[in-house]
Amino acid sequence: MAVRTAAARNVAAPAAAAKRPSRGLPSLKTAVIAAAAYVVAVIFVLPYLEMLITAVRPSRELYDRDYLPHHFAWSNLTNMWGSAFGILSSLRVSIEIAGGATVLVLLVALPAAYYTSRRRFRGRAAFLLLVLATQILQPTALIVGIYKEFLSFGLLNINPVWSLILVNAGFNLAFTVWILNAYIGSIPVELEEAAMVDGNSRLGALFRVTLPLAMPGVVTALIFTFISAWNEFIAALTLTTSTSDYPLTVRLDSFIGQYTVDWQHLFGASVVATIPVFILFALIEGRVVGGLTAGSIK
Amino acid sequence: MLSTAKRAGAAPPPATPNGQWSQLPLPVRYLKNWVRRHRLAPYLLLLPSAVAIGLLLVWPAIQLGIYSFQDYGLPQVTGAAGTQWTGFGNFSTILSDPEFWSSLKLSVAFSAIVVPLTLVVGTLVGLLLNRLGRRMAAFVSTAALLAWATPAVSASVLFVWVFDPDGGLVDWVLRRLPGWLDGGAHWNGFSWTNAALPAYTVITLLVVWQSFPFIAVSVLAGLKTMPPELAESARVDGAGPWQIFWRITYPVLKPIFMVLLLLSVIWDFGVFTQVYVVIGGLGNRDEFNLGIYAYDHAFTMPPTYGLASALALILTVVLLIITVGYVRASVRQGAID
Repeated sequence: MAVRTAAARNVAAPAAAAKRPSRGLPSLKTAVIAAAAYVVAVIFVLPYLEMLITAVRPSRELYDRDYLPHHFAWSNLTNMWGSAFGILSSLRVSIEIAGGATVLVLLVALPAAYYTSRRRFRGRAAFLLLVLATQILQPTALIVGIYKEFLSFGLLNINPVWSLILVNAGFNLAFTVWILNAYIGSIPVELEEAAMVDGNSRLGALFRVTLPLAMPGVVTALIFTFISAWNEFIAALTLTTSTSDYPLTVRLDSFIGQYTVDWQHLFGASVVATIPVFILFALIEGRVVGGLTAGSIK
Repeated sequence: MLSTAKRAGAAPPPATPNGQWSQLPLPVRYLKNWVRRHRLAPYLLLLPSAVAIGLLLVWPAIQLGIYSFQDYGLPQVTGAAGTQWTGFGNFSTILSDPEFWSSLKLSVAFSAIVVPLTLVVGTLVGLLLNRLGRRMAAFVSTAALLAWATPAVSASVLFVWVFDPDGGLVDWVLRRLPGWLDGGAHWNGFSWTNAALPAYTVITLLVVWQSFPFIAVSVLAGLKTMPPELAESARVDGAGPWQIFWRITYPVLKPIFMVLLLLSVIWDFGVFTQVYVVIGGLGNRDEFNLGIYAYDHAFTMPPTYGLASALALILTVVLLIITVGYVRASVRQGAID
């Protein structure tokens, strides 16, 4: 609580000063707000800068350092793809897992979300409640049960990538059904009916009218699934045993376990793991918060 | 099919061009009619997701419940011994384990510090974003949200490196700070991950850094929906920012704050990835939180799945109680219809 009081006073001071605006110069309040904004921005940019700089730091400057390296070892960025580091194979595995989970979630969630938002039928409320209730099950708690299940079905011996596609689809399914249900529900039924009056079948109306209108919601939910499967760690850590099956997240962690940590290549891999997330996230950024809180606040 | 529920099952609806149907093979037509007659369409469409949720979430959860009352370890996995029901044996084993209490204490203390810190910092930044011009607000919130979307492992290894005793930026800066700021040579090679307190300081910074952007942008979204006249009229009446926040902003945005509080508690109480990476796996037992402690029971040889399941059950029940308490409170306040 002490933090809250102190912080609030800091806000209060410039606001009081602003009551006497000086002509010409920007007011103190504006200056303080701008400064605070830059501080916040720097807090977020600086760690990424450190990540990028370390990725091209020559290994002899890792420990005996100045803030900026005296030389940039750009070759780090090319030789990190060597098979010794396994970054390329991990990239492939990550793409397979996240892509597979996304496709699976789309195929499974879309019909359910469409029907629950368009029709009232027996069991609808029960289904939606089931979807919501599974959100309480945390991966950290579930992982033992999931591991045992996949072990007894023998799926782990076949290919852990398939198991991870299934697990990630499961983790993200409920959220996607919930979001899509809300999103399709916000599209007027009348549009679909008009399309059917014009001679479309129900499926035709769905594909020609409702889905195109719902596309922003669908894309948001899918990118969200992709990112969360891409970032997933605990299931990947548990279900993969051979290093050739490691996705990028587990690969990053495995760098740290080594006797001498190969920080330059670790951060090369980290950049590889982060860039796709940045690009995908930039596409949906504006809609994320609305989408996340849509299910929880009326 | 037509659009109202009442007519959904009526066979064959006039809007469907029947010409298309007769071209289908007979078994398919028969199947379609059968689905229609029994009004099975909704259940067929829901079946895939119900099966997926059942197999991937509900069934593992049920198994957890069963294992937590069984003596389920390595002999049972290999088939050397049969499973036995042990009643509450696993739970009493856990409750008498001092490591359980120390990891529970760490989890509770961590949440008690990180949740308020995240909410306060997030709210302040949200209020700040609301004051900024459109372009600056977009820049800051994008930068912040990217941190939120960054893989937890990437952020964790980054913080491990920044706090590294040999080449890390933090020790490098601390060595160069003037003496009155506690800078100096005693930071030379200071290890942040060898003891619980410094390790959790790093984890706290890391988790706050990654999670307050979401709070900030959610609060900003809420602030945008508030009519500016509310705060304006209060300001005219002489209210300061502190009063405006607690008398107007907070009550109006209370539902959002409650959801954010709940989500933060759920995320921070069960935090796994950041802790696992920062404390360097399962080596330092006095740095375990509840999630790591449970994981260690399940996946360190010899595995004790029964104990791990009982722990997972405890974790889930704690979160369930918090959630139910929250939902009941919000129903009472009429926040949820």
